[in-house]
This record gives sequence, C-alpha cells and structure tokens, in this order.
Amino acid sequence: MATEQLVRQVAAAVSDRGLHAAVARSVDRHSYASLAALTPEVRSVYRARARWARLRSVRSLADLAERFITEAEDRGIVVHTAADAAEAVAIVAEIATQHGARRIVKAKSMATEEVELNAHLAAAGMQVLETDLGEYIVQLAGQRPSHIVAPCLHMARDEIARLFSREAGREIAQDTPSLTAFARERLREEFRRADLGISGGNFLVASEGALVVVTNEGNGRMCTTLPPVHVALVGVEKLVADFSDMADALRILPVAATGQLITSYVSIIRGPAAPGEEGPKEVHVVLMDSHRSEILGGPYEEVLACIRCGACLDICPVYRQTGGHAYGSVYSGPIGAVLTPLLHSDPGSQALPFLSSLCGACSDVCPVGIHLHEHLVALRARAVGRGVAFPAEAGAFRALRRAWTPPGRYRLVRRLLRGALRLGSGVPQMRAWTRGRRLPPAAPGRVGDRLRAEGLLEERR
Amino acid sequence: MRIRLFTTCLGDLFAQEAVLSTARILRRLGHEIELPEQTCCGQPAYNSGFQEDAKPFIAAFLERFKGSEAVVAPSGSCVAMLRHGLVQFFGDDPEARRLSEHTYEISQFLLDVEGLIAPKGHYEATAIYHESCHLSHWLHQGDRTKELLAGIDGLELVSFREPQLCCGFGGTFAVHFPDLSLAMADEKLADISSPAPDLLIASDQGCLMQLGGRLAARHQAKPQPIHLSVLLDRAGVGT
Repeated sequence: MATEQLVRQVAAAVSDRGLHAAVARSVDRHSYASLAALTPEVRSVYRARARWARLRSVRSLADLAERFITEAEDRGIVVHTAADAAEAVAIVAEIATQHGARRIVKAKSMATEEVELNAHLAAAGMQVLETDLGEYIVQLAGQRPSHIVAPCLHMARDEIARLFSREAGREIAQDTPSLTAFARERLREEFRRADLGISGGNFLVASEGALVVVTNEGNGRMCTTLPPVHVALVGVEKLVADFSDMADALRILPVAATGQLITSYVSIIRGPAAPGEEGPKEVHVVLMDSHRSEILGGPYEEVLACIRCGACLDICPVYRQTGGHAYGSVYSGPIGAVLTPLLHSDPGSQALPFLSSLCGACSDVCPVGIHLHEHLVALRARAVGRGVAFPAEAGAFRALRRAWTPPGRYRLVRRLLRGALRLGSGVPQMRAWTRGRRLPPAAPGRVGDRLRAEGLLEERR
Repeated sequence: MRIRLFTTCLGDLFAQEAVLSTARILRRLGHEIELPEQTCCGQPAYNSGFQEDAKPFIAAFLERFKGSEAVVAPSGSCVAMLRHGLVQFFGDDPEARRLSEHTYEISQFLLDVEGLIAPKGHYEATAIYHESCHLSHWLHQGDRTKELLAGIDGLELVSFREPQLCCGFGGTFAVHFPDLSLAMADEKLADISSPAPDLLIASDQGCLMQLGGRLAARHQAKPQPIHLSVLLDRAGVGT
C-alpha cells in the first residue's frame, strides 16, 4: 500500500532528531529573513501583482510558447519541445552526443531533477558535475536535493566537511571560508574544462525570446557562458508574456525564498555569442510539458503559477520535522505534495497529499497565493477515488455516515460513541492515539440537559 | 439576536464546558439561544478524502439549521468545514450560501459581529495562547483572537515564539502519522517558556486534546489546557 510506504518513510525521518534540528534551523532562518524583508503592506501589493502576472501567463501558455519560439529562434536560440520527461532527456542527450561532450557542468535546476537527467547522462558515459554549492554537496553524498532552493539544508556542517575531505583527499576544516574555498577551487577548474553547460530557467520571456536564470553564487552564469554549448531545460509553465510580468514575479521570488530583495545574479540570456564575442556558440532551450498542460483549465491550474521559492516548505510544520527526503519525491513540502500527484500517476505520488496536518500556513505564505491546503484536501479525495487511502477507512466513514446522519440519530450514536470511548476500544486508530497521548474522559451526560438545567436555552415555541 | 448553538462532536463528547461557556457568554451579551438537533460537520471523512461520506453531514446541518439568524460553535475547525461544505455541496441553494456566511466560531462572532475589543474581565492566572490553525489560516482570523484576552485584568499572558505553529493534531493525520504528530506536539510544547504558565489557551478542542493529551502522558500538571470560551466565561466577559 502506498500509504503504508509513506508512513514508514515518515517514521524513519521523524526518528532522526538531528535531521529535525538541522532542517528547523534553516527553514526558520529563511522564514524570519523573508518576514523581515518587507512590510506587510508592501508584501501584499507585491503578492497581488505576482499572482496576477503568473496567472495571466499560465492562462495563455500555448500562445506564449508560440511567441517565445519565434522570438528566441530569431535571435539564434535553438528551441526544442519535449512532450514528456523521456523526450526531454533524449533531446539533451542527443545535443551532448552531437558535440562529443564528455564533461558537463550544471547549474541548479529542479526540472532536470524531475526527469533524472544526471543519471541518464551518466549512463551514456558523460561526467555531470553539479556546481551550485548545495547541489554539489548532495551530489557528493549520493543524495537528492531535500529542498527546492536549498538542496543540502538537511545536512550538518561536519557532515559536509567530511564529504569535502574525502573528495579532496585531505582534511578540510568545518568553517564556511574553508568549505567554500575548496568548492570554489574544485569547480573553477571544471567550468574551464567543460564541453557543455546545463541550466534550468526561472522565466522564459515570450516577447523577447529570453531565458532568465536567477542565482546567488555565480555558478549559473559560469555554466551558461564558459562552455561552448549551453542547454536549458525548462518547464513550459515558466513562460511569461514580457519583462513587466517577469518583474512582478521576480520582485517577490527572492523575498519569499531567502528574504533577499534581489539575488546576486539575474542572468538574461538572449542568444548565443556573436562572432568575435566570448560566450557559448550554441544555446538550446528545451521546453518541457511533461503533464503540465493536463493541469491547465482544471481545478489545479493555479498550481502552475508556482515560482519555486520554497516558502511553503519553510513555513510547513510537517516539513520542518521530516525534511524533504521523507516525501520520496523531487518536489517536497506542501507544493511537492500537491504538484507530485499532478505530474506522476503512481500510487506513491497519489498518497503524498495525506502528508499534511492541513494547517493552511502554506496558503497564507505563498507569494502567488496558491490555495495549497485546499488542493491537498481535493487531491486526497482524488487519491481515494483511485484506490489510494488508509486501510479500513472507507468502511468506517461509510458506516458512520449511514448511522449518524438520519434524523433523530445524532444522540443515539453519540451515546454509543461515548460508551465505546469509555471502554477504550481496541481499534488500531485508538491505539495510534493513545500511544503517547492521553484521551480526556468522555463527558458523563448530555450537553443539552446541562444547558437546559442552567436555563440557558430559549425553548422553541 | 437568536443564536443557534452548534455543539460539535468533540464538544459533546469531551468538552461540554466549552459549549456551556459559549452559551453563557452569548446569554450575557443579550442573545437568545436555541439548540436544534445536532450533527457532526463531516470533517473527519472530508479531510480523509471521503467527500461523499461528508456530504450527508452537511445536508443534515443545512436541514436542521436553515433559517438561523446566526450559528455559533466553539470550534474554528468545524466552522471552516461547515462554511466550505455548504458552498461546495449546496452552492446552488441561496439558503446554504447565506447560512455559510452566518455560521461563526465563537471568537469570530465576538470580534466581527459583536465588535468586542479587549472586553473587560477578571481572572488571576498566567497563560499562553495557541493560535488554532483553522481559525487563523482557514477562517483568516490571523492573530486577532488574542484581542479578546487583552482586557482581562489579572491574566498574565506569555507568548510562544511561534504562536501559529501547528500543534500536530490535524484530525485523522494524528493517527495516520502518529510519530510525526507527536513530534509536532513536542516541538509546540518545547516552545513554552519556563516556568510553565498555569494555562494553555486554545480555541479548538482538537488542539487542546492533542496538547493536553500529550502533557498528561508526560505527567506534566502545567500548563492546564483550557478552551478560550471557558476562560472568557470564567473571566466574566460580557457582564
């Protein structure tokens, strides 16, 4: 059962209290910085503008894609369209093969994680190196990113120092300057030697045929300018109409993600280098659909407005306990629990919406106002409809509905429930509650009698 | 105003004091109170993915409470379910839409309908206030609820560092993922400053069962869980 698998993953993550400490420390830092960055008034204006800009784009994706392809190709970018993950991977692999690429450097990209690009390229004999510091660390550890914007947020400093020491073949100290100095030295060399650079994209600006990459470390710009060929793999939902709509979304993205008013680098890529200029001789954009257009026009359409800031992960009371790996999916946290079942049809993905206490903090914090908790509830119903549910619940809820909703039954069933509670019945759900929590004593009589006895009720005439 | 009381299952089964206190406060404010035949709001089924099993509960509520001038319940969670369910399942019925807008959680009623700001009262205790998620986030009350506590003389409030952090109850979530739910309760309780205040105030019985149940299992006598209505009632709010 998909739900049992998820329960096991979660229990394992929860038993690791060091993980919780590392995750909680990092997400709190993000959340506090984000809160401090803007006054509530400015934030609400930014949010409204960003939501509108993103929704407007999402609702005209087909037109924007057409416009983007025309404009980008006019400027010398080669645009490919990929219907699904397999096609996207095949296109990137083909470009790499054509250029005889052996060494590939990569900027951070969740779309490439989604299609497991690295594994496919490695299988074709290519060496792929992640160059975002966090991505580089999780790659060394043989793991996947556990957070949309901060891939190694679950790891402690000493763990990272051990990984680096192993890689360096010498002792690397735990302090930040020592760690970053090592990564910098190691990665610089690779940027110079790489045959191909791969990135994702934060925006595709249709009116300009431009690819926009938002980063903090400068590695993104290295990947997209130093190697002779640059390939960007981008989900089709990243299209925006023009620079004005992009600005509306870009203004809130770093604020929501890390509390920065702007990131260190916003790279706007409008084509390959002209003859005589430095820069890649070829730029490819792979426009990937992979189930996104199936979401259009339906109840989950606004989910495509997501700008991948990670604010919902940072505020989530579940994510802070489990970290991202417990979800077992590329996208984790509330947005992951909503997006994953929309992008993947397997039972494990369908079970993810259950991994939430439905507190709704995610919906309040989302910079583009996605109603995440409502989608979580709706996707639970969809999962149940597809046969993914917790065992025995279908029968229990049906029985409760039949027994309790007919006129005149409420009191009777309440009395039976009270009796059952007093017996402390042996149903598994009850045991799951009483292990670690006491149940308060059931009330002795009817609340109506007590209200009446105090003369609180206006008896109906 | 003629107010119909929605007692909620948890109120009926475990927390009748919260129901009685809600009624007393409303009476003191000059309202008449009626108690129609009750129903569950259907949220356990609804949030577990069984919407078709939740719908008859909403139908029963509509049938038994239609025509109410106002409905008041001591739970933001149940009220959020009722408001949402009435519109989702019976949105074509103008009475369902009207009833949805006239169904209130008690503090929501006191703040938005009564317009109470820092009502006077007296109660000697130290206390900490937990913002219940469905009231804060689903009913969009944010952190305004504690305005109802600000005028109570003798009540010394200490604050969570994270007043809005979920307690980990989440209905069936608490039994689907028991380890996770307990870890969330423990983190919430660890956020209570030392020495522990006398009372832990929350406005939803689910949160109080979760945190109170955990405190009891850990043999901690303080803070004592108490429903917001009970505190406001004991403080004499509305007199």
